[in-house]
Formats: sequence, structure tokens, C-alpha cells
Amino acid sequence: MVNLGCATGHPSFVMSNSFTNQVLAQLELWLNSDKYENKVYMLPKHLDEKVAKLHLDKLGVELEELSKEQADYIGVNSKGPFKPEYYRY
Amino acid sequence: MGNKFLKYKVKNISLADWGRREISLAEAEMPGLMALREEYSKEKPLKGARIAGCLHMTIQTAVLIETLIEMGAEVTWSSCNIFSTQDHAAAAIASKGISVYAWKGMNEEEFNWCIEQTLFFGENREPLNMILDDGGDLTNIIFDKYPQLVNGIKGLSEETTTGVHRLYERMRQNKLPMPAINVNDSVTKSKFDNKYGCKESAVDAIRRATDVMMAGKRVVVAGYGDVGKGTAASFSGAGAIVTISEIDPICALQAAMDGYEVKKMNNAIPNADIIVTATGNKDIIKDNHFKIMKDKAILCNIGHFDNEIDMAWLNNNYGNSKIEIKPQVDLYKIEDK
Repeated sequence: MVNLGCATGHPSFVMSNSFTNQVLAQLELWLNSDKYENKVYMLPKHLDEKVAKLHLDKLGVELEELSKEQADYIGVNSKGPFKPEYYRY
Repeated sequence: MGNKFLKYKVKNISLADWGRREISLAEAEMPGLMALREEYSKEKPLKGARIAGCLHMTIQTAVLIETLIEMGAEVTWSSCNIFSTQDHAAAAIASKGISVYAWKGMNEEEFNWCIEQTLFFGENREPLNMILDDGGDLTNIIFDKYPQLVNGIKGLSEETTTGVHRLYERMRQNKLPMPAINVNDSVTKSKFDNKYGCKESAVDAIRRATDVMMAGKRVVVAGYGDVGKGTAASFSGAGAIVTISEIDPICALQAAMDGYEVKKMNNAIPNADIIVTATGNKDIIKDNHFKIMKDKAILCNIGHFDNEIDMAWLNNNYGNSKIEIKPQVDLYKIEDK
């Protein structure tokens, strides 16, 4: 693929996103493989949100917080997950 | 299957210091991985894990490898593409005593050999018990050539769209012998890496390969998935005029509403200065397309596998016109162009 063959692939910051997911996946399967069948799974949304959260400080992102009332209003926990399973970003 | 233990194989171990300097800089840009090290380095939850990884051996991957080790794992590594290794990254990892088998510019035989070296760990030749794959080549070698190792492996994680597709195929045919985690479809992977990663690196690749001016050029991107979206944005951000080709009406409509012309490949190619395949499929650019390309059109692939472009036809028919401009950049003459 041209970006890896002729350049150096993706920059580090975005690869940290991908690789944090990889490490969490390895951890989950190593520690809990007996909870899984021989199928293809995805990481749960709260871990997806954890990966994003770990990358906010570096970019100077200030995250707003939901009040209890706001969380109830949209039917989520104020600590997340913030979107239903069917949401596609 | 105990073959002789070769600790590592890289192009040039003396590149290790340079690799280490770039790894230190990369760590400052990889807060997710560094945070996991901080969270888990005392507990070492991956102790006992023997992870064989097959993923582009770059500076960024070096930080992943060292994170897994910091968390207690033993690791062996190969690259999932014959051209993607950064030799200084491989050297830095090898010089830490980690069993890496990767160099930039391998042939098919060397590629498979490297993967096979990662299946057994250390002097004692203990087999792997975890798979970390990108594209499915490590997975396929184990499942198809070393099935006796399968029962000892707890599970696998797969990085990329193409590899995940192969896993779902296996699952559909009841041929998946262990649990697998599809890392690609974490939102924080495919909606970021596949898209914003390509947005940074697609134009970078063409600049480094050819130094050609981007502004005003006509670029055709085949495919408007996550990679196509990022690739299109990369070229339009550099001032090029981008046209998309697509088979999926949803993606085609997204491309149109993002402001791109969407045309059939046959209609887009004659005017194209640069053509990039990003579909995850095969035979996107074939004989009839080569014949109607502009003189000096630049053709490349940013998908995982190289069969998006029919290189076999090109080399069989016009291989004797091939001139290497520099590594990974070749000039072909087709008829009078």
C-alpha cells in the first residue's frame, strides 16, 4: 500500500487510537477467553469511549459533562456510554 | 515443529539508535498506549501471554510492542506487508532482545518465512498462545498450515477491514476455531485510523514518491469507504480535483454530497493525473483501464492487498518497458504513453 511503501504510514497520534484498541483486545481475550465462543466480537462501547478519552488531553480538548437531568433526558449514564448500539457516528 | 532458533532478522541492526530516538518522540504522540502502560505496568496482566504479532513494523508499532511487553507479555513480530517495515524501527526492537523478523523489501518467500519464525518463542521453542494480526496472513498460516497449534491459542485480535472480512467468512463457514476480536470496527479505530490516517499519509506518499504538484491535478479515488473518504480528503485538501468511483449507492451518495463528482472508472480515467485504489476488492484497474490512461498518469493502491490493480497483466504485457525510478516507484510505457 502506497502510504507505507513510499512514506511512513499513518502518524503516531492516530495509531495510538488503533493500538490502544489492540492492547485492550489482547487483554480481554487473554484474561477472559472462556467467556467467548468461537465467533467474531467487537469491543464494548465503554472501551471505545475510553480510548477516545485517553487522547483528549494531548489535543487540549475540554469535555463537557452531562448533569443527572441531562443524562436521564437522553437515557444514558452520565459517565457513558453516551450513544446507543445502533449509532453510527 | 522445532526449527533452529534465530533470535531476530532485520536489515541493519546499527540503525537501532536512530530508531530509538524516533520511538521516544512517537511515545509523546501516543497518549493512549502510554496511559495503558501506567495503568498496568505494576500488575503485568499479560504475564504468561506469548503474543505473535503480524503488523507493519513501524516506529508506531514499536510503541505497541513495548506496551505489550510492559504489561507482562512475551512477543514475537513480523510485518504484514513486504514494503511497510521501517528498518530503523525493526532494528531498535531487535536490539532490545525482542524477536522481530522484518525488513523493507521482502519477496513472498521471505514474507512467509518471517511469519513462521514468530510461531515459536525463545530457546525452548514454546508455541504462541495469542495472535495479533493485520490482514489475516498470520491467522491463515496458523489455521491452514499449523492447525496443531490452534488448541493452545486463546484468541486473536484483527486490525484491518480486509482481515476482519476473512474472519467473518470463516465464521459463516463454521471454520473459526477460536474467539476473535474485530479491532477494526471499534469506532476509535476505523473512523480515525482508516480515515484521518489516510488523510495525512496519502498525499505524503505521492509527494515522496514523485514530487509531483498536487494543486490543480485530477485525482480519481476508487472506493469511498473509510479509507476512500480519508484519501479523497487528503488530495482535495492539497488542492487537487477529486473524482470518486463507487459500487455502493450509500457511499456514492455520501461522496456526491461531500462535493465530489462520482463517475464510472472508464469515464474518469482518461482525464486522471493520479489514480488511487481504495476498495478492498480486486481487479479495479485492469487492461482496458491501462490503455486509456493519460501519459505519465500516476497509479497507486492504498488498500491492504495489491490485487486492486492487475499488476500481473501489466507485467506480462508491458513488463519489458518497466524502468525503476526509485524503490517502489516504476515507470511503464504502454503503447506510446
